[in-house]
Amino acid sequence: MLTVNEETCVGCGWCQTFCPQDALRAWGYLEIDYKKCDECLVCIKFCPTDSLSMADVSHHK
Amino acid sequence: MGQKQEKYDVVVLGSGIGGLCTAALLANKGYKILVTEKLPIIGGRCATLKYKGFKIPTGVLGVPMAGTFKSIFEEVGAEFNVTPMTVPPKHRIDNEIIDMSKSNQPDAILSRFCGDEKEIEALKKGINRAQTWNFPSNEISLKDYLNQYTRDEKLIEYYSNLSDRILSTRAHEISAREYFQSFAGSIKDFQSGVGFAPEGSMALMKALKKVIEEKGGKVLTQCRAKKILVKEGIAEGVVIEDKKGETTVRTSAVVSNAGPKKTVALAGKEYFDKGYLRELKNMVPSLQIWVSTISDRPLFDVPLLYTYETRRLVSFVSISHVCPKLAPAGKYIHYSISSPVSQTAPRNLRNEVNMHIQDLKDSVPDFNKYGQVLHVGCYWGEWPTLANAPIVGFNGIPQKTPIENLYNVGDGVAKKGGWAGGSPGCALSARIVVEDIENRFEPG
Repeated sequence: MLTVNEETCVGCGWCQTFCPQDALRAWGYLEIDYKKCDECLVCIKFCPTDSLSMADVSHHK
Repeated sequence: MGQKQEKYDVVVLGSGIGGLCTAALLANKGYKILVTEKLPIIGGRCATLKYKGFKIPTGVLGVPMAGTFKSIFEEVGAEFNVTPMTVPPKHRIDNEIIDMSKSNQPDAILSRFCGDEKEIEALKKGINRAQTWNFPSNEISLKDYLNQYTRDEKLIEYYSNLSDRILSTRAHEISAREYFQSFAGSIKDFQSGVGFAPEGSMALMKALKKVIEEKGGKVLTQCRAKKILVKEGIAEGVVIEDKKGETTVRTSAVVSNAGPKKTVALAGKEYFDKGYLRELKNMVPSLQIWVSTISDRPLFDVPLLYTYETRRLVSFVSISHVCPKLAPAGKYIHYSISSPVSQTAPRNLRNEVNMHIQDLKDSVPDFNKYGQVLHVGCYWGEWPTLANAPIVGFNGIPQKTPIENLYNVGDGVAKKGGWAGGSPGCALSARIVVEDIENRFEPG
């Protein structure tokens, strides 16, 4: 599950422009549409502040 | 450890303006250069993002048509493809849009703000004094300085707006000395005119990259600096990591464009004295909000609209008038810029964005009818607008660090005795570092 570190994310919106699924929207802070996100990880590569990561939530399922 | 080893004359960390200008200048002088960039694209705050067929700036938009930045392109033989803006800006004052192209602009605008010519004359004396022979103190704000000459709030608002637009800091917070020194120094380059790269500012960074590579240098993207190697107080290499794994790069000098704080983290805090670390802690990174609006017709009739007495908005750039290729055929893109009232007080980012959008609705005539917000970009904190805003009491961080052969470039570091930001300031930091490296060792 894609997770944003709200302490370090500045809301620059770079990730929004690289997301192939149009699942991200920056508006002061980052909103993630989990219905659209297919965990392709592209956004993580392009985040200038290293604020995006994949959290392992398998134990919640 | 089985790590790969390489050797370069100079390693540059980060591919922003400061980094690529340094690398291009040195490569052009025969130094063997490696530039590492952790992201998949180069340019940093001078990059261009593509989104839904439109192009969005990450920071640098207008560049000076002459001066330090351009001179580097000329010196290294990089293409400086910039279209000058030839139409003067319009101004929105008192809910009215005013074309002042046929008048002496600053005087005409001041007259709009204040009907009392005596007040304006008194203020102009103060401005003239600061600009020509007596820089004010660093310990007072621009507002405090101007208040010595006028108490007219509207006149102060004009200068506050100007300071916000150019230095993202308003009059009550900016150092009076740094404000005037900036206009006499790096910002002066803009007096030669402003231009825009027709397909986005990143093309300028690509032109520098091309030169670096033609001169035998390397620019690696998705290559992260893991550690700056220091021995007995001297920088002697960098550990980098890319898809292929870690490599130890030996070098005579390390130039960091990652920001002074990141430089310390990479080298290790233990090599820096307390005084230096305190100076870094006192740096004030500033916030700017960039909104990209699209439409199927231009939302304003000239490229530039300056807005006054708004909640936040200070400028609206109808860029498609100058650079139609930034939008698909038949479409238009516009960029607008705002800063918070204070760069040091707590703020709510979402409110800041919403005030910016509300200002667009109120100030740009056709925004409500035809405009659609495409993208909102906030730059602050670790990815700031200015790494070190020139506020009251400003203390510049020099390019040299306490570690020998380790330098910083970019807008986080200042020229001697003052602030130097924006594209000219970043370029200047590169020039200063290159001169020092050149004086200290030969290529090879």
